[in-house]
Amino acid sequence: MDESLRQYEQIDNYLKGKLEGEALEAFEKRLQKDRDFAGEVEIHRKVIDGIYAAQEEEVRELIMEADDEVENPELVQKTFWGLYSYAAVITLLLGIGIYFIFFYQSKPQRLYEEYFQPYPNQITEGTRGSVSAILTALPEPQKDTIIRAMHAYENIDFYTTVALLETVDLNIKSYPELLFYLSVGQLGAGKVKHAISNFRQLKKMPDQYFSKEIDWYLALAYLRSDQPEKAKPHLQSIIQNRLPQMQEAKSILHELGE
Amino acid sequence: MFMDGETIIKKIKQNDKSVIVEIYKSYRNEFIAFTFKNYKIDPELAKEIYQDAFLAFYRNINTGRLKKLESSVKTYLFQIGKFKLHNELKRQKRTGIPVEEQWDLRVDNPDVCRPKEEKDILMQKALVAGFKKLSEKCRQLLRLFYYEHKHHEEIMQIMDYATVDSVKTQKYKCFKKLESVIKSDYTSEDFF
Repeated sequence: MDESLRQYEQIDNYLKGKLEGEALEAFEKRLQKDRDFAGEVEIHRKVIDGIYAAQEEEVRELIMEADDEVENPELVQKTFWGLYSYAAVITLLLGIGIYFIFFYQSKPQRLYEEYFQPYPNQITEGTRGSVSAILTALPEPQKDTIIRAMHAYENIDFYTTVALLETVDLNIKSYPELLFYLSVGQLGAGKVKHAISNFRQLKKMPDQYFSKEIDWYLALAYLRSDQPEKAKPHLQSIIQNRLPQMQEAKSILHELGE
Repeated sequence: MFMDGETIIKKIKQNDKSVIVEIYKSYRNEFIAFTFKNYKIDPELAKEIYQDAFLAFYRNINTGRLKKLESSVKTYLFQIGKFKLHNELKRQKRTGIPVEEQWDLRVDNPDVCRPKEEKDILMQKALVAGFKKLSEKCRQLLRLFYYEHKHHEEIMQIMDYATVDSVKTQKYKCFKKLESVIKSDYTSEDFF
């Protein structure tokens, strides 16, 4: 069992991204050469996916019941009137709570929340060839980390995105596209000072893919940090240059009393 | 019931079903209306996307990836939902076939079905059923390690094991039991 246990732990560590250096290299070599071993790794991955699915099945059932309640309210009212009215009260109170939180934010921060959307993932899901080409140019360990970071990004898990991108063992600043996603992740994760500093650095770089987005995210970052005066020039620049976010920039400026 | 982000996260981690349902319901109709207004998305598809977004929210909390809400729950859910929506739209654009029709095509015509995807779904169903059949102790152990990303030392304390090695050995045995569910029905070729 020892050998089997050792292999199990090794696969576990690989899938968790914990294998490094020579161990990782040897593992990946074996993965390429040994089809049975590659099969074992895939089975392992499937079992872990199954564990996740099992944890979430109960919640899935729960929310599907909730769908029924919303879609067939008469049925639910007849059957569970007491429970339903209780739920309605909870909803109302929850709504009041959220309303309360909403109005305790400053206006710029509320505008940030209203308008912030992470830029679509062009690294692993993209159609912009030269952006997604970054992946093919990178060695395996970095590539894997970036794929996981972008997966987290898609799930709005910005803490993981930032943590992973910050560990990429290369000068991320020489890859403006990655720096861009790191900055958006930092903004989403609340590391606003870092985000502003990186966006400003990106703004100085000529001819990079996301140049049309930088003013927009800089403006949002200033709104998030409650500095509307610093956001305004970037919003005005968007309007002057007729950038894609022109309408949104106009609306925000209007809200800010410009 | 006033709840701040911290309380919401705590309640969801405690698997408080009434909070889970109420949060889910609070933004469901608004999301469906939003997708219809802005993207003319079929409400059934919007509902599925919202369900997936909510599950991702639940997963991020339980796996410890979302420790603190930096925005409102609505903003967070809408962000995930919009992302998933854009991916679906992108896929539709690439294939030229709306997602719902792709599914119909697969059901009606087995020749064009995607066997690997279907196999994956069946495998996952078998694993979920297999997981339910495991002992309570095995389920807890696998959940703590894989889903909640607890370290062996933490699991040792939570589950009152004597040593880290005994946690590792027991975890290995539980994992192998679950693995046997698919190993008995599938060959390694099924995984490529």
